[in-house]
Amino acid sequence: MASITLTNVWKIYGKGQNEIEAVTDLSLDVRDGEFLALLGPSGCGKTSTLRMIAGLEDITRGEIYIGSRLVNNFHPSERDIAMVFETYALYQHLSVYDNIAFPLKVRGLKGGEINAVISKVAETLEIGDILKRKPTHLSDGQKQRVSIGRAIVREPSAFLMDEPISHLDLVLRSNMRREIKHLQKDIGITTVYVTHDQLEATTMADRIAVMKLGNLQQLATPQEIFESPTNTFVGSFVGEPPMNFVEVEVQKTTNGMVLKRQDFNVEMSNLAITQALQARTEPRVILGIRPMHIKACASLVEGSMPGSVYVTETLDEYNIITVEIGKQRILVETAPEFCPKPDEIVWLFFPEEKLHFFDLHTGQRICSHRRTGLKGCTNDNEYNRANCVKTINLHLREGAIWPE
Amino acid sequence: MDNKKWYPYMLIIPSIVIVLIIAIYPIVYAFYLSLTDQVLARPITNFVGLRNYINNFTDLQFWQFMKTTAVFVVASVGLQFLIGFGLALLLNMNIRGKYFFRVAMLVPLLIPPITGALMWKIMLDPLTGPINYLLNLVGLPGRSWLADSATALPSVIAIDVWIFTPFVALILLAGLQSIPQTMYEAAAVDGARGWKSFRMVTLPMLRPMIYLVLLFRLAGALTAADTIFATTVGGPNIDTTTLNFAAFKNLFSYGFMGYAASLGITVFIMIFVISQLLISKTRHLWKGA
Amino acid sequence: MRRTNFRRISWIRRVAPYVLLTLWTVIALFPIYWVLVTSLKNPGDVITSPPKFFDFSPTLDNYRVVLGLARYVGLGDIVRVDFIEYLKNSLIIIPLAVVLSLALGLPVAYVMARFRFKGRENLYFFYISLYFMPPILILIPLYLVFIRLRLYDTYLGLILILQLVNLPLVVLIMRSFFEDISPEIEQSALVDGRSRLGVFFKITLPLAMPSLMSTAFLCTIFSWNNFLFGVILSRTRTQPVTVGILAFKSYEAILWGQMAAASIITALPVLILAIFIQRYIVRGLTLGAVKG
Repeated sequence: MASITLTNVWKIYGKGQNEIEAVTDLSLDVRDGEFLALLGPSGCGKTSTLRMIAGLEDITRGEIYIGSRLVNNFHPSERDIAMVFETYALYQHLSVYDNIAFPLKVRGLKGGEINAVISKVAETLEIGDILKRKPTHLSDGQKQRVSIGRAIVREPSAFLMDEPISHLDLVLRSNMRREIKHLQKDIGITTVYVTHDQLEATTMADRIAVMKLGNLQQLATPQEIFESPTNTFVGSFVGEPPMNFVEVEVQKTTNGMVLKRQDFNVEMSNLAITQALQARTEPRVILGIRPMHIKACASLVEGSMPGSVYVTETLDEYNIITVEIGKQRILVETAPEFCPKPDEIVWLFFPEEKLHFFDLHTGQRICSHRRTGLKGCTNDNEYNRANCVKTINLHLREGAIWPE
Repeated sequence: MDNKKWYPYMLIIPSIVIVLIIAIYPIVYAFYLSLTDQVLARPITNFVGLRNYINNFTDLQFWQFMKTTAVFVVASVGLQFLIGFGLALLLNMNIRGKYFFRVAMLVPLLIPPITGALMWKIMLDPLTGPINYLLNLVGLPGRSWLADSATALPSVIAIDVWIFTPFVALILLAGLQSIPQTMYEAAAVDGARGWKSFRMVTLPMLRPMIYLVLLFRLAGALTAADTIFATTVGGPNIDTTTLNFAAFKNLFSYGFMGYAASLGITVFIMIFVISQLLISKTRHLWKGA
Repeated sequence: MRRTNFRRISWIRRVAPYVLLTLWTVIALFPIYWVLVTSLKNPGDVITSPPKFFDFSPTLDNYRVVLGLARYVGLGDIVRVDFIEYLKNSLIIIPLAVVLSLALGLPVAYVMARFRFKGRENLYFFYISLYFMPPILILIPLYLVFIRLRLYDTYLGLILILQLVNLPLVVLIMRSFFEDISPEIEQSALVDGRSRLGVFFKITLPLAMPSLMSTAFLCTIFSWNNFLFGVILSRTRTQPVTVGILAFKSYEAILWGQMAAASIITALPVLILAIFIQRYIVRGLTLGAVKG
């Protein structure tokens, strides 16, 4: 049981002209017992980071601590970590039992003790009936559980998992997500989990470290990342369907200001935000809003914009409608009953408190309206009904604003 | 419609016919020959049953052949393995010029074995060969390598090792390279380093390949003749005469067909036993894909 | 993969592999070098004791004599080894043998790769066992049979017996290659209306051409290198070059230089061919068992 701390860690491949910075000046911490996800697209350095923690890659610069020990020069076997590989990396020539027993045998445990430990592990992971089989005769799901079994059998200080469920089919994957999360909470071992799937990260992790091209973008809880992404990348990467981004120009009006781009018009009256935006020299900003926060109506509503439907995708619990406003395509999530046809006109309303603002050039967050008084995890779906002429309560709460 | 079904199988027939003629029939005939006392020079041949074999059993010379064969096979294949495995391990490392070393190493294997052996004959010549000269330079005595009883067999073994070690190295190298890196990484995380990793991961994964190489080389050593032909022709006396070579000598020089056949059958039995053992162990390699 | 601190790995461990590999390379190549040097020496320089490594004036005379372009006038015997005859024999026998084995073996390989039939694996093992058959066992009776059938010391006889060496290679290796070619390509052609035969010749064969060439080269190398069949089943008319080279042995003390030149000439073709089959060597040597 230990914490993991990375301080100014760099990973550089190659020399001279052909240098590649896989990880750039990364500092983060994993708390004892925490489940941390390293999330990002391929090439972002998450796997390099994990392998440096494991000791499978040299640390070019910086320090890595496991617990209070500086492990930079330690062999993987000396770091008291266990790893679950993307390709399971099971010992092909050994049975399931021997695979799981391997780390124990290497450390010199005797047959009797090994047996006891493995029985328990087998029971937990429900692999008791395949103990005699060899890896070639196992299904992917079974291989994966054996791989996990081999990792937990040693009760290490930390688990490192490298995209362990990415090769499983959809159903299996969602099962394993729950299993792994339950297991982690049950055993309570510090876990670092690498994935490119934002759904895995948001459902499983206590905190997520979002990475891009070797740099840490944001380290926060899934909730915080969802509600306050630090830049456009994080905003677009986490959340499905992805956040909409529109480049708009801030123009002053009598009551406050309006955000414009061709046919695109959003009026803003919140004082603090308008002040923060107008204080900037660059009049253009990137407006961000998630599809599930946009209200779509079949008829005109005050403050809404008309758009023509490009395509409607029907899923089980909701629809995703792609609406064209001018040349902009906006994704909107609506209730399943709301199902317009292509080329129909719908009206979109952008609630002020759901808007995110990002710098045009850097993509960094400028400010957003943060809701206070959260009522747990409810959705304000009462708005997304077919006939939303009725009531639109604009929750213009004064709440705290966090200018960046 | 029936026509089309067996048409493809017809294509196999020509090659099977040829094989029957040049292989099956001769082998059966050889079995028969070993039960006769046929000699080329003599016009009359008698069927003598197992007399050849029984005589062999009590023949001192036969057991001498056996001993020479045993020494030759064990020493030659053993050395090929040791050196070949070492070379494979070295070539598997991250070395610059890997490709060059690998190509250079293969040359002895690719040239005709008889040519290679002849080259060594030139090299080992006591007076004009460089081997003795170089030995003398470092103060070691030169010898008549191929003519001296004490050194003839070792010399022949050495030549055989020179020719066939690359085979072992090449195949084992292919085996080593087929072990996925993640297996070593998993073992490292699990606590196996250095020698432990080698013993618990590398060796077990290489096992089928090792059996395959053993199969080829044991069969090869038992039927080796090129090297001996080129250098000592079984001599001096019979010091380098293996069972296999004895059979050749009896065919080639003396014409004792029946006797030669019995020796050949003995070699055949040895190969048969070995191949039965080892082919089953490497079965899954042979299954094609 | 990371090991302990780099500084702890002594320089010995880093240099050792190079030293060992260089050592073996020298052992492997020195005989070739020596023989090459010997082949370029004058008779006088050859039989010096101690042997000369560098200080001699090279000459191509040995090659000229061996290839029949010059006459050797030596001490005592006017000895001529008709090496050029042996070369000619090999150059006739071997390509024909290879062509025959391709013609016989390719269909078998293809059928085994594409069709499932009872006894397919048995047939497979049959060809494997052929490879491991001790040559002596076959040569003793064949010697008698060939004489009776008048195949002794004929090209045809040797071509036939070489099938023993080539057929397993062709069948086993080409089966492995044919299996590598996805059947879907053939199936789409069949759907388009071609006949099975047409598919084989117009589609499969072109795709398999590189591996076919490599197999052919491999067979050539194995056949060229073969010595035993030639020494037993041929006499004066059809001895291949590997047998002929031994003819120099009887005049040991005198004809070193020519023996060396002849050795180089026999070794050269296979080395050149080997360059072309680089990628397939492992598969070839293990009869398709290891894809290397």
